[in-house]
Amino acid sequence: MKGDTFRRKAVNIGIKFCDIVIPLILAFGVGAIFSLICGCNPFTLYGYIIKRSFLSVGGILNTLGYATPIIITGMATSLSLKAKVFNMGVEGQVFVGAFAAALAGYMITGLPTFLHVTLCLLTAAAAGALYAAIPGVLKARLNVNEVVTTIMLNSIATIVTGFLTQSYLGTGDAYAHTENILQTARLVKLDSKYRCTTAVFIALIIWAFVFFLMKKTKFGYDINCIGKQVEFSDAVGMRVSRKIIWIFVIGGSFGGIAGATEIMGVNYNFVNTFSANPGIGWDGFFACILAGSEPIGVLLYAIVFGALRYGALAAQTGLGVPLDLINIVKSTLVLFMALKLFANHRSAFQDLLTRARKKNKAALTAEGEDVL
Amino acid sequence: MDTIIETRNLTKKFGDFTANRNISLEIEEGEIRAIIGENGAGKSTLMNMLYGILQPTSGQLLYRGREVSMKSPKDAIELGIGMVHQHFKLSPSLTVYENIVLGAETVHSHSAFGKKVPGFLIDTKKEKEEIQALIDRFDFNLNIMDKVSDISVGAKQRVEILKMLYRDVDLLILDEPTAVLIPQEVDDLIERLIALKKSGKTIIIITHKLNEVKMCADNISVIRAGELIGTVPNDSTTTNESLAEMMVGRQVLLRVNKSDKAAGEKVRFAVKNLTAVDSDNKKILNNISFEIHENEVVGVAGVEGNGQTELMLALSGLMEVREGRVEMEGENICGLWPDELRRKGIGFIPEDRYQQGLCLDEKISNNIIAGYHELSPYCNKGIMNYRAVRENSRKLVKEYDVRLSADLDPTVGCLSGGNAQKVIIAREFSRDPRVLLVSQPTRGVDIGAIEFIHNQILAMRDRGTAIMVISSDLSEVAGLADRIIVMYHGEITGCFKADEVNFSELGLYMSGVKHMSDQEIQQGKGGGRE
Repeated sequence: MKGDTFRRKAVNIGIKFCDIVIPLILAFGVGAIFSLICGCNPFTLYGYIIKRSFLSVGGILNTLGYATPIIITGMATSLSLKAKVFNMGVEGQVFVGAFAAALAGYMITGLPTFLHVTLCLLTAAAAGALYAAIPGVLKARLNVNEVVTTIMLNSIATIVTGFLTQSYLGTGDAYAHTENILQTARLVKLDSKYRCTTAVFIALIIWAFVFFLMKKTKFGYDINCIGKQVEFSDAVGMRVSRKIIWIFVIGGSFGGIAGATEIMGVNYNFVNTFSANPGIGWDGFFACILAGSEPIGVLLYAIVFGALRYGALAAQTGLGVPLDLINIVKSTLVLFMALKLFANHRSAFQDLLTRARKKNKAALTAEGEDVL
Repeated sequence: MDTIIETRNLTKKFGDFTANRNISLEIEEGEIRAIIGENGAGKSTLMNMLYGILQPTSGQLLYRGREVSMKSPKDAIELGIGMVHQHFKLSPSLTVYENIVLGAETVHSHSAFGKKVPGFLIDTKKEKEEIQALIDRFDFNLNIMDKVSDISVGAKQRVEILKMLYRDVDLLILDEPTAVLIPQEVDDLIERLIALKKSGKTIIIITHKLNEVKMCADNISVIRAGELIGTVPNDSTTTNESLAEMMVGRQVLLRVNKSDKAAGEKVRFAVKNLTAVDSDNKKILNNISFEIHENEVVGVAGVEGNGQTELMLALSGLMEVREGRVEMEGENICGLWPDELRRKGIGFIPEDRYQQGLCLDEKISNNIIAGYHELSPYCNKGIMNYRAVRENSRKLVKEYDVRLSADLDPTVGCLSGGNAQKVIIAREFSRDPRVLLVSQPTRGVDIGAIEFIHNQILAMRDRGTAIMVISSDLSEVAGLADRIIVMYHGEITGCFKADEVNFSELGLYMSGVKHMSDQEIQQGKGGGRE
């Protein structure tokens, strides 16, 4: 019996491992084909990306700089996906938060740095939370499908912030942007040459907070149950509709903070292209999907995505490879992961395994007879 | 007599699990054979192989002496084997005759070039005639033009049987045919089965209700844990006790031992004029009123679908109520959230174990505190103490006899029906509730666990808890309850003292034929002695 459970556990771990590694190989394989089409040796390309994004202090700082908002949006998404609530609206919450932070950054004057930074972050969080509360309330009270509402609200957020910037808040420059935020509202770069700012600590605090929330609190216990079985959760008194609103509000406030860190640490003003192709909200969503909503996985994938973002930029200038090539790798990775080839067909694989084992056994006994 | 169907060493495996092992069974033409066994013993697997739904892993299947292999129910029907499933497979919006011919329609035939060619228009006239003739021949008492949604459960079952007779089967398999019937319908069904046997059909009936087996079967085969334990003739030497022992493998108490401690005087839980409506504004609960005293069990009898589910939902705080009050010790608790109800000391055993009672993909330890997980020591200011949760689980698993294999804290989805129910019982009973609302406590639960669950409920009663038990199993209601109320179409139609009740009288109230006046219901002693 003991041996059996052990074997089952080993098989489970093996299947999980295969489901992570094989999609990676396939996705980078597809990337390799396109790399060849672009006339670049894929090994050179991937080697270059790894070298530039991980093998120097500057590279790591840039990678972390790109990963910072993705960690935050990834955790915002993972909280909602754990409860099987599909908040696809983090991107919109990022926009609203960024916009709010940009305004608070130059409109409020005369505050010392620490207070101003805190105030900007809180404003962004509140804006994101309020914006996320809309689909939350609609879902919880009227059972409106959250996928539809959140995606529509994404478009509304990008268009409205863009419109406001262009029409009312522009500075008269060729491209529409808000005024630069004050020095007191800026997050400090760890090294002025590289992208990473103190926001990375905010990201890690949020990461740890969500980790703790999911693993150690009653709230985490509840959202875990809600994600696994809504009817059950209602029946044992978890007040699911309220929890759903909370999940949206918490996720939305994180989305807002993610947007704010980009404005306060990197851009210093709001341009409505600051989170393009794909947005940081979407990268967080992908990281979360790939990690199956598990915090540690989200952190790792967010860093990988950060590295790919920076590496792709570096490869564009260094090797002349188009940026989109790396986006292809990222998208195909999500696609192959979604297949969950091994987990979904585990019985077939187990059959194969047992058959192989039987054959081995048969071969062994046959040999044994020969000896006798 | 010839053997109509025979299995030789039939084995069915699902992965590593063997559902049927080396079953060799011979069924004679023209007999009624009962196949009995606990839930999960492998009866349904065996029947599904006889009907072509499942294919055996190894072993042979012989029909009239010839080896056959069936790929689907279609092959089985062609051979002459028909099956009526426990959950009817009928289309409610079609008429009786349309349901019967569905998939085997008669089409007009035309003459062309001196040959008969089938057309594509359905010959409804001919179909109706054929089916009317069939109904007359077997005296099935159905109107072919009735919509299936409008007819009773018993009639639906007759439609299912006719469906098979129309396809001209010789062997009829019935899976738990009496599970949804009221007592009168059960008698009716049994008479029909005997009549069918006389007309030359062979019948296999799967069940775990021993009384019915005794009433109609010629021979009885017992299956336990996937193996055929034996086949005995149905005669005076075969008693319910001996059959139960064969099924379970040990001696079983078939009667509930209720202490004669009388129900208390104090009303602990009262439902007053409860009315609820569905989305079409139709009343699903109509002016329901009853009281439960201290150490009293009130049983709710009725054919399924007469408002029992809704009553449970309303009392659990999961459904909105249009009018009325629910009082616990005088305080109105109607409209509270489920967690507030729990804090007031009400325990729930919901009807749908796997939807509302348990979270299947969650570990036992987490399931066994659900609903009480905000209490110390499991939770302190919002922070969970999972060590306390695991310790609690270890203790309760032992105390409530939840049987586990090697894994000490598996997900609940791995447990059998009985053990899963024990997890719920452990969760609710260990909190020592003042009121206990129970629905279908032993559905899909094996005999051994039924005994345990009944004793637990009665032990709670003796400790003073006010208990409501909803069950579609009449003998369960009668065995546990001190008082029985009957529900029909969302109303209470009768109220009886459990020790004075007789089942056929109950049946009249369950089918709406009789209806007590409000006063009689209040007094709670309808005529059971007539």
